[in-house]
Amino acid sequence: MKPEELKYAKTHEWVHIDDTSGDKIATLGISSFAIEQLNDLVYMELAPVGKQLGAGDSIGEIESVKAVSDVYSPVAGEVVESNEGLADNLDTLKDDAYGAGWLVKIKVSDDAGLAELLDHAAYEKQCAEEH
Amino acid sequence: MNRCRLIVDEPNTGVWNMAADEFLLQSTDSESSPTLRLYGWSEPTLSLGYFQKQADREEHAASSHCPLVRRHSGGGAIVHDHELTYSFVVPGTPRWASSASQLYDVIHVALRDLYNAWANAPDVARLSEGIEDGPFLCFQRRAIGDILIGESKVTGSAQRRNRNVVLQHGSILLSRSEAAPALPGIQELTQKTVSFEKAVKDCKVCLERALGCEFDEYGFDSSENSRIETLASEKFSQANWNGRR
Repeated sequence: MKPEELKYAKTHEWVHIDDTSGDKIATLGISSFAIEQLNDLVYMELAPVGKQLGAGDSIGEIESVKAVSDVYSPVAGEVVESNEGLADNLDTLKDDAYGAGWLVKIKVSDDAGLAELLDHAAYEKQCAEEH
Repeated sequence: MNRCRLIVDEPNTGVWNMAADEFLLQSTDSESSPTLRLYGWSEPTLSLGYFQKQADREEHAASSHCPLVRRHSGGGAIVHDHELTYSFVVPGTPRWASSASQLYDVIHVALRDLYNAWANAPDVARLSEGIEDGPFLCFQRRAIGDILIGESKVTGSAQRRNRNVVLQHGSILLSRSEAAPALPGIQELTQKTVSFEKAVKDCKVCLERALGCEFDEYGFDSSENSRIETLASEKFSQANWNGRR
């Protein structure tokens, strides 16, 4: 996926929406800016398939440099796919943040949170201010 | 000057201490002042890093009799005994901004200078390179920024980050514990005895300066204590938390 075509949460998750199958499926990942900030990733745990999430709930946790952080979902719905194996290959996040480094896919039940997402240009501006 | 709440607690159990730190993290929002908490441990206690496996405590026989609690923060296991522990909760810090990582530097530089003042030891230093995160015990690991006296680590810190609030806590190893005999503390490394009370008093001064704030010292009120007790009993004393991995 091209980063320019994705939407971003202020908390640094990227979102891609696919509704070609009839259901609205959100693929979520972490932006390369955030991964760069995190640098030495050592552990990750993702929400299991079947878990029901509200907007703003945690879809997983990640540890880097002795800091554990939550990763948040901007949409409500059910986890329908989790990127199994990613926790054992965390370099994938760094190497391909917008492709093979995706985290979970969520069948969206409430997409109200999508309206608050940033486009790529606005997200880059936020990153520059935060850095 | 910015205000910062200061809490100095009597030594308490590991379960209560971790519940208190979790309470501070949960109850801090963008409108809150930062909080520094200084505390000790009422009994030798093994704390596990958030992602560590409980079964791995078998690697460390000397602490096998110690009660165990899982932290919310990362890093390796710690035997808490003759130490002063700090926790610092700061709002308005996006969890993956560089300012979150810089908190390690701000506090560790101040503590390094304090240890030098205590002991006038020429070899108090912060580790500038190299990472070793294999050992079970935090104090046998090495991360950039750790404070060492000679070859021995005397202070390490870890964090839990929510959206815009960061909790950082760390241990100041005052002297060796019988539950971790391989780890000398400041007393053994410098021949200087620093009491818990003196460590608290001096940390107040050095961290107030380093954090660029003025402390308002007041402890937990009854409502806060009640919420901490609930976290202690419903989470940090529970097998499904401590044994979740």
